[in-house]
Amino acid sequence: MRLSQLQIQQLYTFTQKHYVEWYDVQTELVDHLANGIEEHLKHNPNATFDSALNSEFKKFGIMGFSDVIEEKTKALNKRYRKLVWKYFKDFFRLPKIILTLFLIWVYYVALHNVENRFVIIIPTFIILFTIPLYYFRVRIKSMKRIKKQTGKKWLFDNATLQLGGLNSILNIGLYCSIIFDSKLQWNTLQELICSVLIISFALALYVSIYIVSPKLRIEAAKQHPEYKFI
Amino acid sequence: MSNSKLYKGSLNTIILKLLNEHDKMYGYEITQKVKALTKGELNITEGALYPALHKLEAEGLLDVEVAKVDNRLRKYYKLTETGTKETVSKLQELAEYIKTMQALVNPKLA
Repeated sequence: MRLSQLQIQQLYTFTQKHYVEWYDVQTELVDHLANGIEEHLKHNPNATFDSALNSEFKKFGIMGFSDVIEEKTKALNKRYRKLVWKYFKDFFRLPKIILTLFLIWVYYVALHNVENRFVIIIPTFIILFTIPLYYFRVRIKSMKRIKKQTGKKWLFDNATLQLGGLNSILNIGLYCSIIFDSKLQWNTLQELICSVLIISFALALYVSIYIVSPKLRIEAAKQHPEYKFI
Repeated sequence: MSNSKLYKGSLNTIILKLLNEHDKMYGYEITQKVKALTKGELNITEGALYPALHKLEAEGLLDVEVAKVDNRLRKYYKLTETGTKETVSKLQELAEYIKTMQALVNPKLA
């Protein structure tokens, strides 16, 4: 016996009630539950849809679907970070390393030659802070639009929003006292380290926003034909 | 994963091996296949299977394809090129483990 379209819809609602709000995760769980229920009803013709559903859900253990969501989120973030690292490494290999070294040198020269380093540092932090904020704004708006149009939320979309952990730049306030301590004099090595860190961070941000996030969305569209049409 | 914690460390190898023998498989199919092959001795639980599949996918060992089957969507997993290579090495590792355990538990057979 095959489940009806209405029963499949009931399964989507069931997963939603059990805190699975992501359509890409729901889809896999719904198919699994549906297969289990069909098998259950085949062997127990007198059982009802609800009793079969409860029996299949119990197989997920006392944590229900939460383990699946947690692990899926972890796996997606790991994949994201792996991709960022893969493309980031390219900036430290020929030919891109020439550009990276040039940027570090320009930043270092600027930092070394200005009388007050904050003339360089403050605008840098403003830019590095504004770019992810602008990106979050655009992505959240797009996710809300998709949710409004289709009623669906996608977990991988949410993963791209985390930028593989680079969003922690927004916690920069914690380090303000060290970075913006005007009494602290920097020597050449400190200026050089600062230049390397800032350029590396900016490159990682660029890779995340402009290379990895679009790539993951293209990949998702390949996997889920429905996403392609949004 | 039920039955025994001893199987837990081999879950990824079991999944990779099954996918190596089939072009593509979906989650429920994997649980049923394992049950059938082991005559019900090994029962992969849903709470262990999906996290393992998602982890293998994140590591780039599995590729995913979603297709409409009957009146619902089904997510299929298949091995990537790296996944096929990894299967060979995982199976070798498992064979060595079995051999070592055999030598410890039953030295006459080893």
